[in-house]
Amino acid sequence: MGRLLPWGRSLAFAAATLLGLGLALGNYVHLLLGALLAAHVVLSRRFAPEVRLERAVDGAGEPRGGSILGVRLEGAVAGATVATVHDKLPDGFVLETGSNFRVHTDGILDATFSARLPRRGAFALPPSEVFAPDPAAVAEGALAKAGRETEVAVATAAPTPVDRVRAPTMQGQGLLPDGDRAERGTRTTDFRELRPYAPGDPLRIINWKATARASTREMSLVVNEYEAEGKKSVWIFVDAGAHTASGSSLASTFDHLAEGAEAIATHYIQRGHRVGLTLYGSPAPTLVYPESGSGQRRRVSRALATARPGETSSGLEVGVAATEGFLAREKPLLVVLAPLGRDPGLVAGLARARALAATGRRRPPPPLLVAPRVPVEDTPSGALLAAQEAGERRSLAALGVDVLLWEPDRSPLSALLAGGRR
Amino acid sequence: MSLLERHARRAAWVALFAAGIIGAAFGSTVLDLASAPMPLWFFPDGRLAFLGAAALAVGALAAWGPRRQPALWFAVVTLVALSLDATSIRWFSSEPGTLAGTRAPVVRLAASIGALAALLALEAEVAAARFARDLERRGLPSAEAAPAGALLARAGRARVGLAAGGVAVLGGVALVAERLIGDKAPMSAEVGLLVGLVAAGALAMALASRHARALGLR
Repeated sequence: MGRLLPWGRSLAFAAATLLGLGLALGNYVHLLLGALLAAHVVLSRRFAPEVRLERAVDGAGEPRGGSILGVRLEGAVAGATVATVHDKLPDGFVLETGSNFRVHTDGILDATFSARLPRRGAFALPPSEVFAPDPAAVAEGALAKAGRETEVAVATAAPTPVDRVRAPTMQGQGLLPDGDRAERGTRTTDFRELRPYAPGDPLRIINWKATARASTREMSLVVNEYEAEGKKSVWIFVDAGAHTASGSSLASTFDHLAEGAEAIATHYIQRGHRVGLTLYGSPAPTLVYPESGSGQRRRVSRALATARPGETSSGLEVGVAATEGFLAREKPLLVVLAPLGRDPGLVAGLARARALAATGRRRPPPPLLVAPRVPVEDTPSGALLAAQEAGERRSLAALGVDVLLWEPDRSPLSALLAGGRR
Repeated sequence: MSLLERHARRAAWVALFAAGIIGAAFGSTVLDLASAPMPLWFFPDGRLAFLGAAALAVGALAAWGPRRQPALWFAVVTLVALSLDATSIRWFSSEPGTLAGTRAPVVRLAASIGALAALLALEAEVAAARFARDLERRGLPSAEAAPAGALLARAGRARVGLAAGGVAVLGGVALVAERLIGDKAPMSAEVGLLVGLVAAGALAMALASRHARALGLR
């Protein structure tokens, strides 16, 4: 039942006037004319078609950028001569076949259409809107939403398959998984040390006696640190700061970073590793807790797809601080994907992460930094940026970080990771 | 539906609206065409022509202009004024009630209903054309949009026809009841009105039930 339009309100007012005059004057002509207008308004107010519509979306499971999303609609509208069905497409979706806006005059809804997905991002395909206009144009008509909202997380198009990762000695030089094992450490829960609580630590490992001793003035939580057991872990940090939103109209810097991160994550997950992810650069870093298996690959892919670079920027240091607990517990191999020369806290953040990930008994694997080359203009500011990049590379080399400069448009990531140029 | 057909249909509704207004003027003692006031003894009596021209003007504004409310209120005011002499039901009088003290001619009542029905149908016609135009603007080919607009207009006309038909039947029942019961019988007004309302209500419900699908009630 739709609201009355201005014309309908005028009719209702006129009907009330005629009926009032008819009652007051005892004039049955007025009464009859008022009844005519009132009946017309009442019939429009009772206009409520029944809509039954089912929508099947094909290709919304794990779609890749540029892939095709197919939509099929089946249903019926009872009680309306004419009805329109509109499936609003999110920004970036390009209609390929069919139409997402149709008119039906036979009461049967049966239509298909397909749309090409954008490069990357999280989108919501709203329910289909079925609109039946009021034939008398007195009320707004009936608007019904059919079907459910469909979430579509579009990952970057076809990540480059990575066969092996060369740099970290501990992770193995040869092809994985033959050259390396995902299991790590001995199967023990032996206590190793006490350390301050860090975000991400489970509450059950808090040592309350040690906390009571340490909390002289204010609460200072202390947790038990155990020897890690289980599978080897890889932690991927991805820069999602404002500076990564720039790029060509085809792909931004972040798109390249996301593609690389997903390729690396897939590589390790396929070989049985636990993989965690931190998207930093926004005020609140996004974490994907370390897990293994295909479900984790979907979670990583989804986190990368839904990231919105271009918000307030913060550095790797903030991302590492948010991940401290995991780094200290998991002792993972560190992989950072970030452009050089943009984040002043990159070196300090890497140093902190490496210290947290150190096992103490043997030399930790060197972190791997994958940095896509960002074109630098031949201007004074460009020269300054190039100098910053060079300085940062020296600092990272001194820290023992393995830096891979990646030119996404020229060299595939797989070749670079397998042993290409430094 | 071609452009010419669409405009011809609108013009027909405007003409029917004006004809209804003029028809309502016949026999009205308010306008008193039979005995014109004194100035009209010397000048040509153009009141009916003026009424018709005014009805055509507001009708045209409703059909091709941006506003339809002037036509509605013109019709309401005119029909109320022309029907003032039809005052017939004495609700609270101690005298015996009469259904129609001064009998309003059947033609005048039918013309009044016709004028309002034409205006309602005209609005449905205009809204259907606007709907079809909106469909075309949203990317549908005119081969799909035009039939949809025509179907919507037809459904609008059906609904107007149902309401007008129901009210016409109600009026007919009241007139017949008045003649059967007589205007001197005690409580004849209440009895006649009650009988008319019940009969018309039953008829309207039967019609609505029969055409519920076409009218969008089910």
